[in-house]
Amino acid sequence: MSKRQLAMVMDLNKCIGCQTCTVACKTQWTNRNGREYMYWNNVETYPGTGYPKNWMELGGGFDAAGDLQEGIIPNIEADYGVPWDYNFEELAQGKQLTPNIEPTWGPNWDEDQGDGDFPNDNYFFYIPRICNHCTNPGCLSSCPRDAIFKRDQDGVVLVDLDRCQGYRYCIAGCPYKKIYFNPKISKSEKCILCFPRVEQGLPPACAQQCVGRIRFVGFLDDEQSQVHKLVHQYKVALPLNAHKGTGPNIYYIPPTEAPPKFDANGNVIEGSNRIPHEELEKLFGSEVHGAIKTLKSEMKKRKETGKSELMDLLIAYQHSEMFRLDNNYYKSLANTKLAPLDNRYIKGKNTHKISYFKAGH
Amino acid sequence: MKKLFYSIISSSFLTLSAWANTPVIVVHKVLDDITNIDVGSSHWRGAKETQIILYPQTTITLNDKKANELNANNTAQTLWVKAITDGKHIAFKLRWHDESKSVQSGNVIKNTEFADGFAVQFAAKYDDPTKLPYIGMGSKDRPVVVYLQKAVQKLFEPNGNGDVHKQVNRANVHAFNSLINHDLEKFDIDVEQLAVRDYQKAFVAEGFRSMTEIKDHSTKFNAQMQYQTKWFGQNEWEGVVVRSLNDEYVKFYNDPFPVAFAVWDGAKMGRDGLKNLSTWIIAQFEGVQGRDGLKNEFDKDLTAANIANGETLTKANCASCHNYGNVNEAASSYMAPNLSNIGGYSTTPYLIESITHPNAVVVPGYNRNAHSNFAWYYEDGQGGKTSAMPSFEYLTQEEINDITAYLKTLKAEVK
Repeated sequence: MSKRQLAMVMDLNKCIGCQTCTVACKTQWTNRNGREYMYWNNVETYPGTGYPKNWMELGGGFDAAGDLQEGIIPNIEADYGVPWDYNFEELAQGKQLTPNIEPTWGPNWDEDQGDGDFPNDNYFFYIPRICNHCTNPGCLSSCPRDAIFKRDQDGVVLVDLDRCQGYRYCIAGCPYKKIYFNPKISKSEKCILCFPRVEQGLPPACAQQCVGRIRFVGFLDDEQSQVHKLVHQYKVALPLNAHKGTGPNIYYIPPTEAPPKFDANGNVIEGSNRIPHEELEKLFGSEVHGAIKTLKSEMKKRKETGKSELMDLLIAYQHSEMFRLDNNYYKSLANTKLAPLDNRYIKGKNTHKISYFKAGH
Repeated sequence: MKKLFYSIISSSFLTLSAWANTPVIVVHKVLDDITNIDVGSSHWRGAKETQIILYPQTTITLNDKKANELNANNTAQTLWVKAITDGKHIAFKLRWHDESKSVQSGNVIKNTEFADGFAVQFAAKYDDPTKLPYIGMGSKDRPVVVYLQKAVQKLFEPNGNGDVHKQVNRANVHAFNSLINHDLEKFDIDVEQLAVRDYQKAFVAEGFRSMTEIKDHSTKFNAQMQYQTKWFGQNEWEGVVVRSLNDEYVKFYNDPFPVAFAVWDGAKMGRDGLKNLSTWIIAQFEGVQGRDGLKNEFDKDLTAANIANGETLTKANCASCHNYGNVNEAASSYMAPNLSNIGGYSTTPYLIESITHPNAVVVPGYNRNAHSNFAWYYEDGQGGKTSAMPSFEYLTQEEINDITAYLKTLKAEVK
C-alpha cells in the first residue's frame, strides 16, 4: 500500500459515451510505437463484450483467500481488434473510402447494443475504464521480475520498462485487462494516470477533456477533495469488480437515472427503471443499493429544498473544485531527499545517462 | 497403490545408478581466437559432445492459464553441449530438439508470440562446492551471471542499449533540444540503425526476481542461435555463447567449474520460469589437472542410502508443506517450493544444505503479494531473510542421506 492514493470518481449518470476521453488519451500516449491497439482509456457499453472482448471472464485478480488467480492473455487479432485506417488522402483523386485492412473486431464493436427488448425494456449504459491503480495490483503481484511498482507518493502503478522483459504474466494477472503488451518493444505498458501532468498540478488528460465533466480527481485522504467526499463521506462512489481483491482506486457513481419501461401497449410503466439493480450489483457489489438510495434521496431533497451538497458536487460547476491535485505536494517531495520522486519510469533503475524527460518540460 | 509404490522404488534404483555418473563437459583447447565463433565454425570439431538432461521448472507455478495447460505434462529433454577455449575466451555450443521454430516477430499485431531461446548460467564463486548459488538464478550473496539468447526477429529499441527513454515520437520537440545536441535527422538515422537488435542479454542475479541486465558492457560476450531443419531426424536449434574467460563477474582458473543451461519453447508459451533447466554441470579444461572438489561433492556417495526409508521420511517431514510428484498433501500448493523435479535440477550438496540449513539459500518464490498467506521467508527489516522452513539438522546423517537420495529420484523422465 502506498503512503497516499490518488483516485478518480466517474459519474456514470452523466457519461454520454462520446469517447472524448479515449481520444484525449490516445493522442497523448497510445497512437504510436506499437501502442496503436491499446486503449489505456476506453468507454464500453454495458451490457456488452467490452474491451478486450469478454475481459471480465479472463481471470486474474485474487480469490477470497488472497491467492493470485490464473488468467488468460487476450489476443490482438481476436480480442482487442487490429486498428485500421482509411485512405483519406486518396479521396481527392476520386477513390472510394476503404479501410487498409478488413476490420473484423475492435473496441466498441457492439456499442449501444445493450440488452433487453426494444422498445419495452431495452437498456445500456457506458462504463469508461482506465487502469484502477489498485491498492493490491494483480499485475504487480504476477510480475516475476519485480518490474511493476506502485509509487509511494500517490499510489500510481507503473511499469519499470528497464526491468520489464515482456513475459506478459501481468496481463494474465490483471482482472481488468488494463495492462498491455507492446509487441514492438516487447514490454508491457499501461495507463500512467498522466503522472507527468499530475505532478505539474494538471489532471489526467481523460479527466481534463471530459465534456460531461464526469471525472473527479484527488487524493483519497484529502478531506477537502470531492473524491474523498464521494467515496468516503457520501459513499456513493464504488469500485468496479471489487470482489477481484485488487483494491481498485477508480470509483463509479452507479447509473441511477434511466427512462421508464413500456408495457405491451407502449404505455409508460410509472416508477419503473430500465437498468436492473441486479446488474449494478454484479459490477459494484451489494453496496450499490445504499449508494442508489443516497443518490435518490439527495436528488429528492434538492428538488424539494433546493439544497444538497452532494447534488451540487455532482453538477461539477468548477474544474478547480473537481480536481485537487496539490501541486505543492509534489514540489515538496521533489525538494526533500527523504521521499524522492520515483523516477524509475523515466530513466530506468540501471540507466546511467540522464533522460531529457525532466520534470519542468 | 502398493504396485505403484513398488514401481516407484524400482525405477528409483535405476535412476540412482544412472545419476552416479555426473556428466562432465570437457573444455577443448583451440589455438585460434574464438571471439566471433558461430554455430557452424570448424573449431567445434575437436570438442567432445556431452549429453545433459534438462528438467521442467516446477518449483513455482506461474499465473498464465493457457501456458500452464500447454506445459502440464512436460517431460525432461536432452541437450548436447560442447565447450572450447582459446585461453582468453570460453565458448559453449548447445544443441536441442525442437519441432517448432518459434520466433517473436515484433509485429505490432502479434502480442501472443513467444520466442524459443536458451541461457547459460555461471556461478560467480565456486571455490566451495557445497555452497554454490541456487540453480534458479542464484541466491543472496551467491550471485550468478546469465547469458540469454532468444529467437527475436526485430526488437525496436531505438537506442540499441535496451534503454527505453529514447522512444519518443519525432514530433516530441523536447527530445531534440540543445541539451543533448541531437537534431531530428540524426535521430532518424539512429533509430534506423539501432532499431534492429538481436535479443542477447547478460544478467546478474541473486535469486528469482533480482535478475538485472548488465548494460555497461562490463561483461564481453556474444551469442547466436540457428534453427536446423533436418531431412532425417528431428529439427533442432543450435546455440552458441562466447564470453571472456575472466571479467568482474566470473573468473575461471584451472579448476573445474559449474555451469548450468536452460531452454525455452516458444510454442508452449515458454518464457521466464516456463522452461527446462539443468542442474549445475561440471566443466573442466582439457588436459588440466585442477582440484576436483566439485566432482567429489556432486558424486557424494549415496548408494548406501535407503530410498524407501527416504520416501517415508520425506512424507513424514516434508509433505505437509511441499508438494511433489503424486504427493499433494500440502495445505496449499503455494506454501513451499514444489519438489517434483528437485532431483533433476539440484545437486546433492544443495539438497543436504537445504535440509540442514534452510536459511543458507532462501528461495524468494512468489511475489509477496501474490500469495500473502504463504510467505516463504520472513524479513528482519535489514535485508536479512529467514526461511519459513525449519532446520532438520536434528535428523541423523543416515536419515538425511536417505531423504537426499529419495529427493534425487524426483524428476521427470526424458521423452
